[in-house]
Amino acid sequence: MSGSAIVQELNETEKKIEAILFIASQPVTVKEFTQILPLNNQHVVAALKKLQDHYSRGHGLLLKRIAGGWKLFTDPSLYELLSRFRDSSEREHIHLSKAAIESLAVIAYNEPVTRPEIEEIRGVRCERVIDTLLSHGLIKISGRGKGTGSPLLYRTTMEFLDIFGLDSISDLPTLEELRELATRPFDDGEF
Amino acid sequence: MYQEDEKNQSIRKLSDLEVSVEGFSGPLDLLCCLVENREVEISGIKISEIIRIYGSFLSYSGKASIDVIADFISAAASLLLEKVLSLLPGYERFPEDEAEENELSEEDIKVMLERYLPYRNAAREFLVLKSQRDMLFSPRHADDKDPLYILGDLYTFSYLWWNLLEDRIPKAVDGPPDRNVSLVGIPLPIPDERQVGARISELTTLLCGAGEVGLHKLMGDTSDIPRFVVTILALLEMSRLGKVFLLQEELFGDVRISYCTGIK
Repeated sequence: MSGSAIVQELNETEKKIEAILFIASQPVTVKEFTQILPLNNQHVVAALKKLQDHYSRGHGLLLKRIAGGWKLFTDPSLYELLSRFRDSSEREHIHLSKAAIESLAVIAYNEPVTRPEIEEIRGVRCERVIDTLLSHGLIKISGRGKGTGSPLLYRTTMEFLDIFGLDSISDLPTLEELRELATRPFDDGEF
Repeated sequence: MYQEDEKNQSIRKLSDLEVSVEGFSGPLDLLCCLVENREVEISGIKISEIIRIYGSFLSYSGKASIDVIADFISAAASLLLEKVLSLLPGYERFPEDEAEENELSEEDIKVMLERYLPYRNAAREFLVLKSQRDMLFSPRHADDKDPLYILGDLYTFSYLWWNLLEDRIPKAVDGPPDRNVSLVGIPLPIPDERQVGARISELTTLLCGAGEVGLHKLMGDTSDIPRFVVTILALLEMSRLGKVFLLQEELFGDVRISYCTGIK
């Protein structure tokens, strides 16, 4: 044990929450914790914060808020090692084209949005790109618009938040903030 | 009759003649190409007749593989689409491409690019977020994703099937599943006629001297579907033989069963 690290003892509640997080493959919401533990929201959040703090002190894991819940991840500093350990076919990475990621940005900032609206912003047709995003589960159909022909409305999914490491859409910078960013050349090809 | 023979003869002649044209997979493909190039006016072609003749030709030639049938359906659909479009007023081929080229002025493009700029920046931001997220690994379970089966993978298919079957077998307390009991919803592996014959004997004993009995009462509260089916079959057979009289006064109402005492 390193000399400077202060080991924090976890109480019974924190241990239980830690165990649930350890076996969960999807983000666990505070509500889900309250359904299986005799605790209210405040107690659960306090325990999660304590665990988050605990993992931030010299552990190989970290606790992160993502897609509206909490999930354990490996520390990014261990990426190279874990990439060698985990077979490439097991990795969770999704490869998206430049067109797909730009269309996703349009959807994320305008949801719910119709295909004609996306095409109007992008200036090109997006039929195939939307199919790709739907097949990856990054967007979903969320009803029909009121315009001519009642076009389908699209919005982003929890999977989208997970893939981009976001807790919610509001974590994204605003369009005004993005407009002010300096424009740099954008490499073509897959991300 | 004579006309039919004449058609068959013309098809026979067609099947004897094999013409292959480079770049085209068949006569319908060639016709589609001519129509698309406006060398043939589609509105003057009777598509139903072409499809009928070509379909008969494929059927007679016996060379209709699944690829040929797929090409045939695709070509027929293309022809139909062309014809429908040509019959609609104001139809022009590929008008949207030209419109897109003519509509956008330099000013429009500038406005469009300006409006699109934040989204391009957002996409760049997404790229950064994704690369950060890709650095993190998390627990992943094999059953998180929908199972994927390869067509023809009988081993996996049978494995899945036996697991499902296992779930339906009532389990003995602290022991392995009892494979000798009947599975709910799955008929017993006894020949139907033997089951029905045995049930007729049972029903004869039950109904003889019992007067009129309702089917509902006869079956009681059983949820054994195979037994119910066998009972119905037995009663129908007994009715055919004149051993019982069946009466259902209302649709979905109870069936009244009377044993015919005069017949042995």
